[in-house]
Amino acid sequence: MDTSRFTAGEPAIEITQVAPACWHALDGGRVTGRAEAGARPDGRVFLSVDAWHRSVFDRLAAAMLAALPDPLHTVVDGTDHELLASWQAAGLTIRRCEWEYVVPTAVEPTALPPGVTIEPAAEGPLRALDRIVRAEVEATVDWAEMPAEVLPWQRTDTVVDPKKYTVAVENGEYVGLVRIVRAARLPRIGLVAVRADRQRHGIARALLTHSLNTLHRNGISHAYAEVNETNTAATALFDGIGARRADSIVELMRDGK
Amino acid sequence: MASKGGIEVEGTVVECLRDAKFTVELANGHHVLAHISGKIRKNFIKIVPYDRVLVELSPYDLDRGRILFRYRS
Repeated sequence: MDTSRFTAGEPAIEITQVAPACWHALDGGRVTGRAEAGARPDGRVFLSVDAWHRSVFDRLAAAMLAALPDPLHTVVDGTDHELLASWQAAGLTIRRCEWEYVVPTAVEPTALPPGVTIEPAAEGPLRALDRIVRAEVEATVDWAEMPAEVLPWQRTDTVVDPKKYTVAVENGEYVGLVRIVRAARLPRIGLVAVRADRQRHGIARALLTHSLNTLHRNGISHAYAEVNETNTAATALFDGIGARRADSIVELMRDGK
Repeated sequence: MASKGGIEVEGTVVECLRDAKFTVELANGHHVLAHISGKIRKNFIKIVPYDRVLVELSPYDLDRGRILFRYRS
């Protein structure tokens, strides 16, 4: 057991490593703080620290960061300046930011380009389109620039539940997709993607407005989505349909390389 | 000696505040100012008003807490 004792402000706290990736702050035998590290499906290790005092946060973060190899990641709400400052003081730097959009579902439908239709997804061609989109992303911006929240990286594709997808079809071929997770109160727009050779024709906007209108008909007034602030095409898409930037998510990283 | 955790109580989110904080009404009507736990943040779990949540109260201030878990509605 790796234990170091110190006095932090008011409480006398003991930091104890209780598992390979878990530390506790103990105050008189009671757990008053926790630090944990966990690997996401794409292999990136994300950290979290919960503490009631900044000094305890600092100690937990220091213990965890000393024990784990780089690279390490964490995420912070963009308005949580105190937590952001705490992680930066611990040695992490901002890697990327995402806007969190609240998207109204009562939006004007967008006309589709001639020859393009919107349909529910069939599994086979959906998986084929997913592989094409993934290959295009990997060849350009790379998935490291994609959202911190990623689906399990399978060998072939990332489609887990085809029922969550709506697709755009042209000449019998899938050219675009939108994935919406129907959470009870606030559905999440998880992915909007159009094949590179079919972009800039209004397909993404048409897919999105079609899916939002479907939610509206089911009595759901809003959805939400996270968009990388450097992705100008995506921010223009959401700004253009009247979505509101409600919040932001900051991803921080420590990479000794 | 086995270590104990904090006091955990169920409540309902009544308001989303700035700085990623929430007002949570506990079953006894008491309101606490709560932030989300690192695990919830790390897993991108969205907290919105009317969500039923599990809150750990601060042993140093019973008016403050952190949201440990969001129940499925």
